Amino acid sequence: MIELPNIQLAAIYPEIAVLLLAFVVLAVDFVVPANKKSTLGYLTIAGLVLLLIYMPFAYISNEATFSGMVLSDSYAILFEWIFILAALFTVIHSIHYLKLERIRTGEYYQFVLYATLGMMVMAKGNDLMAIYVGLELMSISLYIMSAIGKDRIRSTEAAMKYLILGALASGILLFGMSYIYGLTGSTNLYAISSSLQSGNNNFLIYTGILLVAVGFSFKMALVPFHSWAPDVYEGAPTSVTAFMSSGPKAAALAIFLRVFVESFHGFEEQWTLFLWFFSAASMLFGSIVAISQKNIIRMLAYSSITHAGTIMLGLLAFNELGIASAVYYMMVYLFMNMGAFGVVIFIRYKEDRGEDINIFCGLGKTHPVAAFLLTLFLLSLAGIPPTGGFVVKFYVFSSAIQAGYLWLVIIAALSTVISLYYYLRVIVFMYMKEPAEGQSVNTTPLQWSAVAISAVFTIVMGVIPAPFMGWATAAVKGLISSFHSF
Amino acid sequence: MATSIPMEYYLVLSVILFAIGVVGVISRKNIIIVLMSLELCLNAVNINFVTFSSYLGDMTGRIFAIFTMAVAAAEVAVGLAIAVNLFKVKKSVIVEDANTMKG
Repeated sequence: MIELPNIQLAAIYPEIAVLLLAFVVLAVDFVVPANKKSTLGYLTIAGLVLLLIYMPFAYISNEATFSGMVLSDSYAILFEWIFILAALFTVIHSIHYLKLERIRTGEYYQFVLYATLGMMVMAKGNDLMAIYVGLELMSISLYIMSAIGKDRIRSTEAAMKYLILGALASGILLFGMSYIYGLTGSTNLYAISSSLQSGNNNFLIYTGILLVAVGFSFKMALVPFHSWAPDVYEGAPTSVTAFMSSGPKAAALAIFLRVFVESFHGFEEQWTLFLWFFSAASMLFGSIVAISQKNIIRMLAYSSITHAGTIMLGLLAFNELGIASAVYYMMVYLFMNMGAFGVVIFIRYKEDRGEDINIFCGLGKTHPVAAFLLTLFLLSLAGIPPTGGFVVKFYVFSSAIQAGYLWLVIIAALSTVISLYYYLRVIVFMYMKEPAEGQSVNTTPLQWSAVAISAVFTIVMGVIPAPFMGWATAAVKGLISSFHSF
Repeated sequence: MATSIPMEYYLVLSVILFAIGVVGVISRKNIIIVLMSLELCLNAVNINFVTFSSYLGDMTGRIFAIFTMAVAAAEVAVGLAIAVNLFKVKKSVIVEDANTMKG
């Protein structure tokens, strides 16, 4: 007689909902004519909004279910909020943009949903197997999404680079996972943790942890595993770039924190050595290379590398404040990054998308509202008060100082100063220069409202951080209670 | 169970296969061969999983290997589709010809 495992179906209701929504979109795609594909976008928006209404009532428990595969704790739910919001903003920004770019594929909206599903599985996964499958579902959907741009040469090239490097990173991640499985005898994060705590320190464990860290760093675009990011961000359709730079980055952070805090906390001394290097290199390299970028999307790509490095300070600090502030950083980053891309998406240059920084010249005179909003998001990305970008940097830096990473904080401060230059340059171009020729704003009220919501949250998270920080702290309590060195 | 052969033999084989795969991805010019090298990496991982599974007497590793195979098939399907697309726009499947974006 086979004993059935304990299954709590309520733990995966949000995942089931996203999958059903994707299937509904697939079915409707068959009957919608090619020039009316935006209907699918509105359908997706409606579904995601319904899901957001459900999310406050989502099932939360600290008990893993599905044979320990799925853990629907408040940490996973917080990240699911981030993923669903990222998907929602992406779809809102996509509908009109896809029309302008003459991309008439209804599959686009499905792949947003499949990628979101993959990210949700990653956040809820409490087993290396679930995490891997979620990660691949997300990655494969993103490879396809980055290949459907109008500029076929750049788009296909971006997808190819992303796929080859992404698959290599998955291979490295899996190789690390296989060592960890072999030496601990399990793929469950709790079982790995207890096996490692009982004095298991074969040298292959270090190899395994290093390889897993490399795989995760690739998905977060940390230096030296960042080389795909600028090209893919530039080549993919801008709406896909907006999605890639917020959702999957948050998902990578979610598994990074979960695996390293829950399972590898006994090896903190070893993994901080190389994460220190990844973090410092990302902050310096990202901010220095961004200076020379003429393309605003590439600039934002390097800026996202810098931010990924800064977020890692929170994990390196390895205290409650640090891990909570890394999560809070991701929440703010979602809004400021989505906002900045939201504005960049609707700035057009003649029949093309406005990528060159010179196209933004004089935007303050011709389109004051768009210029003001972009200024707000860039200031937040740079970390200027009273925006959310300042508060999260403050929290992350102070947690790192508490943990004694003085040099890393000095590097982070240096990179913040350098990054001020290229963020402010765009603002100076917008307000101090004469309007550029051929520049226009082509958008819809829906997009305006999405950008406005991003702006409101960017400010609110900077002015009253307490409730959000409280939420993040409560969410990570479950993670760090799995061991008692705090 | 192949207890007569020490576990190290399998592990060394898988490290060698994985290294060949990584070198192939980095050094080969043809995208089709790059995709084959990627498969080699993932198969090295499968050997690892099945070896550990067999020596631990635990089924999880074998199940993981099956998942890996399924995912690898999906990945290569997408990879080949993109390679076909690349050939349509560039008339070549050589990695170096995909060099439009720099910086």
